[in-house]
Amino acid sequence: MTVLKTISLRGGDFNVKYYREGTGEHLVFLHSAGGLPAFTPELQALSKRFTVSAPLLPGFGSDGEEHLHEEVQKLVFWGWDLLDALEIERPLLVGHSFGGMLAAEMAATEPRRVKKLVLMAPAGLFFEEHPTADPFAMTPDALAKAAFHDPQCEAAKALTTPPADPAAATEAIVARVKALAAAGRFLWPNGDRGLNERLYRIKAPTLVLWGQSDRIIPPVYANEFRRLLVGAPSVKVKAIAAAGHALFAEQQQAALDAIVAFCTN
Amino acid sequence: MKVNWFHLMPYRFLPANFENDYHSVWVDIPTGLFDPMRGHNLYNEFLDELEFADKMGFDGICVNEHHANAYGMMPSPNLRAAAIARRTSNANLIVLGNSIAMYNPPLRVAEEFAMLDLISGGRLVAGFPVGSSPDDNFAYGFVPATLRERYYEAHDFIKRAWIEQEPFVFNGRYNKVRYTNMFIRPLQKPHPPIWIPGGGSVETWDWTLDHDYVYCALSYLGYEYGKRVGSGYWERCAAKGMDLNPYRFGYLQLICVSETDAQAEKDYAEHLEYFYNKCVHIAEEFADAPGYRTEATIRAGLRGQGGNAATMFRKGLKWKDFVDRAYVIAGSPATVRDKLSWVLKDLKVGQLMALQQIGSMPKHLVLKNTELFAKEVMPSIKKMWDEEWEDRWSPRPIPAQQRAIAGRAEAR
Repeated sequence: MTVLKTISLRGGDFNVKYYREGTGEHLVFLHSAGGLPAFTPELQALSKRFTVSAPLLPGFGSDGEEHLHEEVQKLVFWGWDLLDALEIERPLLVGHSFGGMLAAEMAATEPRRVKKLVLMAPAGLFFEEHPTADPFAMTPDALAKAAFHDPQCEAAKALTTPPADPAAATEAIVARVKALAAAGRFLWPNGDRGLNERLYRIKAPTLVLWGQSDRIIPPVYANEFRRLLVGAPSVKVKAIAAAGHALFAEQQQAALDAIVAFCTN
Repeated sequence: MKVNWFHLMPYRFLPANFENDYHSVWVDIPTGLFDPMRGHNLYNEFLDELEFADKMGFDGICVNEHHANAYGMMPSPNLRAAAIARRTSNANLIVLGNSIAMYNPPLRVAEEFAMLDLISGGRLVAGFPVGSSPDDNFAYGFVPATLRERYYEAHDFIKRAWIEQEPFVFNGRYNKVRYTNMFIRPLQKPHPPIWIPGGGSVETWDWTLDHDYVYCALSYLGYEYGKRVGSGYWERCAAKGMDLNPYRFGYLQLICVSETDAQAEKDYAEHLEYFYNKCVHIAEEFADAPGYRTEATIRAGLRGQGGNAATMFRKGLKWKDFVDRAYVIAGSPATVRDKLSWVLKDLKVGQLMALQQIGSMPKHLVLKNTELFAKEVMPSIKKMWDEEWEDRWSPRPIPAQQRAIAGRAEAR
């Protein structure tokens, strides 16, 4: 079983918990606003091919989110400070949803330090003509259901079933609220913090993956990312069938195949 | 005991099926439900009612701030207070308050409050709420996790602006002003009293006590909620070794007085039902944005009074339920006197906020309710606490003979 390690940044302001597993090229995975409850089967599969590092973002099990206030730049510095501390120079950078937004922001800030970029249904853009859903104005149940192509699938059920133990259930509620609160620092009220004006700086070959049934951030945003990534040498958009916003959990194999093919090509 | 009269200013004409056909009274309520002609009359009706309370001898009249909200039609309480300031002469103007986290620079609030204090001859109470989640996060777009930080900064800024004698540079995280210079000074020194309306956040109790302000529990759940919030507040007060002076604590109570208990039901039942079924029909999703409440408050199990769960709980309740649960204190003057005295003593309330316009209640009933209360109930509670405690938190207006009189004012 892959265990959480801890590394301290900026004189202890941030104590980052992270998973590290595998061999081969460095692949860094940045999780969504749903957090990273474990070194998931998806990450285990990736770790067969790559050295996978997956940090818990501040407020998602790592601390120090209060030092970030609501400034994207501070989160980006957190990300690069972490990779410096982990001695990862030029990774394959993969991010999902909120983590996708962070991956794009990191790649725009340090364009030469990202070897390849994988954006899985990334947040960070908002256009009035195709509004995104508001995950902050959804009950936990509604959000879990909206995140999947098939709200009855096992992964969706796991999300909507609280732990049987009352103490664990309380902890789960607190963790969920803390995670959404932390994500809200950068995504409130609609996820637009000006990434559209920075995407041009990205220089890494980029794969944009999207669940065809995404009801949180509609798939039309894949085209918007492609349109705005003018500095990337290549941008590949791939739609995953029968997948919602939680595409990695819902269509694990299809997503894995796309990521591995892109990263090893 | 200070007895103040509070007006929520609800839109009185929501459709009969509102709670079933519409998602929420707050945040995403369709604007098509608002009729501007009715709005014109309602605003003037509400002002009449507030002015009537002044005439009836209430110590203060209270207004507050809400946005995108059909039970509270006051995006700008300062506009209401300004109108009232000219048309009243006795009652304190208790603005509960301005959501200072949202105004950049919050200097605007410092200036407007100074104006109100000057116009009214020093009758202002400056209320600084952290702000509610539906208002601040959903209707005005502020990030929940940093709202409190913005609030503390705005508070510090306003207070310095009121107190400092020279222009100064304010270099906050969210507000930066090179030339802070409040030429307009409030009349009350060092500044108008500050009261903090709260919804039961653990850290707000501590913060309010540390600043020696009044904490106001504003809820529409009467004793049930007041007891929970009041107990927590007084425990913190005792833990800090501070005096348990009831004037530190404000409490809102829905009150309906009529000739007899039976007549009270006849007069007011329909309007209370309108209030509990329609006015506080607040969608769960908007009640508490993630990050609005701190981890400590979540762990303490303190929840807001809004949300579907709360609405469901109240749904279908009738007059008897509201009265039995003491959401409302209602009945003949004798009944109201007995129950209210008991609640005020039990909660150690020094600053009562009586809510007497409730839901769809029309003006003639509001005036009846207010007058009966003022004449038949108020005298019996006015003396409470006075032998034992001093009110250090109410306005200190200039003497009546020095005050400008509307229509005959002239500066010398």
